[in-house]
Amino acid sequence: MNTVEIRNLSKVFAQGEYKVKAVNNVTFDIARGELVSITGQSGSGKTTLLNLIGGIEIATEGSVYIDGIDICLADEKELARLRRQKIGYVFQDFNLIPILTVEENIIMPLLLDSKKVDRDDFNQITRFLGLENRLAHLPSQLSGGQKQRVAIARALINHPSIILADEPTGNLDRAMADEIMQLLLDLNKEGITILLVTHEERYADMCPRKLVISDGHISECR
Amino acid sequence: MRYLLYLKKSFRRQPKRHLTLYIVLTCAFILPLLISICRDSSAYGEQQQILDMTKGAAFHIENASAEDAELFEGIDGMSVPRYEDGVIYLQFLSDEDWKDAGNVDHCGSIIMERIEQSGKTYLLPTAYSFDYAIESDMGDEQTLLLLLNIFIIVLSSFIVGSAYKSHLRRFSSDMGVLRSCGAENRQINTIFLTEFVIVFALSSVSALLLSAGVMKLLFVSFLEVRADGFAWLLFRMDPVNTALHIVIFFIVLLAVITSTLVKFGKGSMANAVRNDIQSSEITKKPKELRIKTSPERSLLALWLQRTNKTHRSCLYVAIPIMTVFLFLFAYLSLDADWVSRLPEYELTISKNGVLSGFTQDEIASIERLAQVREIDCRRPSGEVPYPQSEEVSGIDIRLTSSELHEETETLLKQLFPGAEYEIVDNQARAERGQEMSTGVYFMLMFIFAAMLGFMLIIVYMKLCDYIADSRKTIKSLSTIGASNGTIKGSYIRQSFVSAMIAAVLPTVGSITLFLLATNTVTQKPSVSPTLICAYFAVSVVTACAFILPVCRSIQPILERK
Repeated sequence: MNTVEIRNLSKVFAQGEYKVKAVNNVTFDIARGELVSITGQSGSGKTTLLNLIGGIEIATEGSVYIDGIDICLADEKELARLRRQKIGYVFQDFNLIPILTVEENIIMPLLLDSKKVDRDDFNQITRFLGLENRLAHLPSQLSGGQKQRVAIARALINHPSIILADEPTGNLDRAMADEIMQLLLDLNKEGITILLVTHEERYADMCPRKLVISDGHISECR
Repeated sequence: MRYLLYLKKSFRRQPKRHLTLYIVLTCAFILPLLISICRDSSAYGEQQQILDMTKGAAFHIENASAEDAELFEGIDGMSVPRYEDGVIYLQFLSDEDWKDAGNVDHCGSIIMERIEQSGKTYLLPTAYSFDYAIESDMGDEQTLLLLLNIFIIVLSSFIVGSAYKSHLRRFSSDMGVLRSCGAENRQINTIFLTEFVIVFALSSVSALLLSAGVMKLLFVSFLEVRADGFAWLLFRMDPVNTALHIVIFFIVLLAVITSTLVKFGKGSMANAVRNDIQSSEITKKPKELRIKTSPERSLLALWLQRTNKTHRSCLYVAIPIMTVFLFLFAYLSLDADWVSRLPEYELTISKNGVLSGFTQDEIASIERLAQVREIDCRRPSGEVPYPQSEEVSGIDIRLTSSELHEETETLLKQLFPGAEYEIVDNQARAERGQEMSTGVYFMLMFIFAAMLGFMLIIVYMKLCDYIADSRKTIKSLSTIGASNGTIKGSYIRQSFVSAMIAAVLPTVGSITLFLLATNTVTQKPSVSPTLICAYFAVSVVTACAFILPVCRSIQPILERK
């Protein structure tokens, strides 16, 4: 069964008279439990595609189905609910909330969904990510690698259908980046579906399935 | 001074920011200047009134005829007596002689001796000291206004300082970059202090022109008083006083801004370059997050707990300003109401300075006037100048029509021409008071416009900056699934809490101040519909000042994310 189904997806950015087709008629599926990488050069449309799948950008044409729901037809409120419940996002620049502690950042999606925190689940995630001693810290008191772990924990807390990781190693040094990549592989082994956008071939090659995007067109590499 | 190029560019590239500062400073200046003009005008009016009354003479001998003048000739050190309208005026030849109180007493006793020797005891001499007639001392009211003005200036300086701090924070990233390029703190401070001096100079000139222009217009149209029976009020702007106000304002503001710049200079350069304002603000371990029943309420609790500093500083600005304004409004309204209240008796005639009251014939002659409906005789009941307490010392006159007051006053003056008779036209006084109260309301409107403009701009600037600084948080929340409605709702609720505080506290504070201030006067405060409407309008405007900037500035962020 497919977690994500993308059909004829296009995104055009208009800048005055100029129109840029960032994503051009893209169609592919991601099965449950898959780890898929998307690579491509800077400006090839990787992040735009990820944002379209995550409901952060609105598609010009086409459809994105997540667990059978077409997010392109969803209104703003429905999109927000989908982002809370079905999608976990990990960004290159972490996107942590500066005024919240690590623990508060992690539980924020639950809070937005008016759900109670399952302490066992929370402890399991933070232990898995090695954050149990950093829970009272503010993001400004963490290293880059630790911040990215918090972002991953936050993405996992609602048990989403898919984790969308946009260059999660982009802001980290080699050792930290390797560590984060290993974490993603471990999570995938636990059955979590992950779509990884990266420009590092090394990490893309670690994924069982590899897609390449160029000028908005996608091609299956493996 | 090449680094001042940055300043030039800053003025060109961010004109809105500098314009905001200019308006804030101009508005902050207006209230102290208005109070200063009122104070100068009142002091000048008082001085002119005394001069008009004393005619620059040390002795007035009333109840006199022209022939009586020769009685006072040849007093050593005094001028030749001058007779005018039943009064003989005697002046000292030198001001130094007049300043000497012993000299005044000595000459006074010579005058009394001459009156007694001549047997003309109907002559009524009055002595005026030099201090009273020429060098009017600063009265209690004047001192109080000066102290109030200094307090307002210091308060305004801190409020402007807080707005200036917000302005400087916008440039903290630039400061960090300049420091990383090797600029010394002294050089950076010079840039921003030069900017302050330029904006201050422009705004002080504008505020001076604006307040002087508006007050001159109000004085010419409504407020100028140069009538008998009133404390005179004549437009006056004392250059020394005005300069003093500007200097105090400048020094206090300079101190506030310099301390802010020094604090910025000591801050982390990395933080300044990153311009990560929200995270750099949190230094202490945060309190535990309160989780509420709905996401919107949980976020509201979070903002109130962690990011409410801006709202608090906005409240520090809005509450004192609105409290001062509402207090001024209530107090001046009461005063205007009291002055313009229509009198029970249109005219009053009293007999002063003689040892007998009105005769029955005199009373009957007043009663016989066609315009008079009824009279009420006042007896002094044992007051010192009247040995026979049953004698009538004053007569209150009610007319058949209040419009006849001027005509009746003229008739009474013809009937009672002597200096011992004093005729007061209460009706004219009330009409003048009504005219003046219109001027007072216009002045209040002008003050309100300045104060409101001052508060609105500062609150608007601070709250828009707050939302702009929260962009990162908003973006993060949105990506993890917070709907636009939830985010917007939580920020608006946060503003609503501040708005309610800003609306309620000035009302309570000003009523308390008003009750305290009116506790000592005989005129008891009353609640008028105008007062209720003013309080309601100010509360609504203050509340809107907190909610609207957030509504306006959050929308584009949510749309763009």
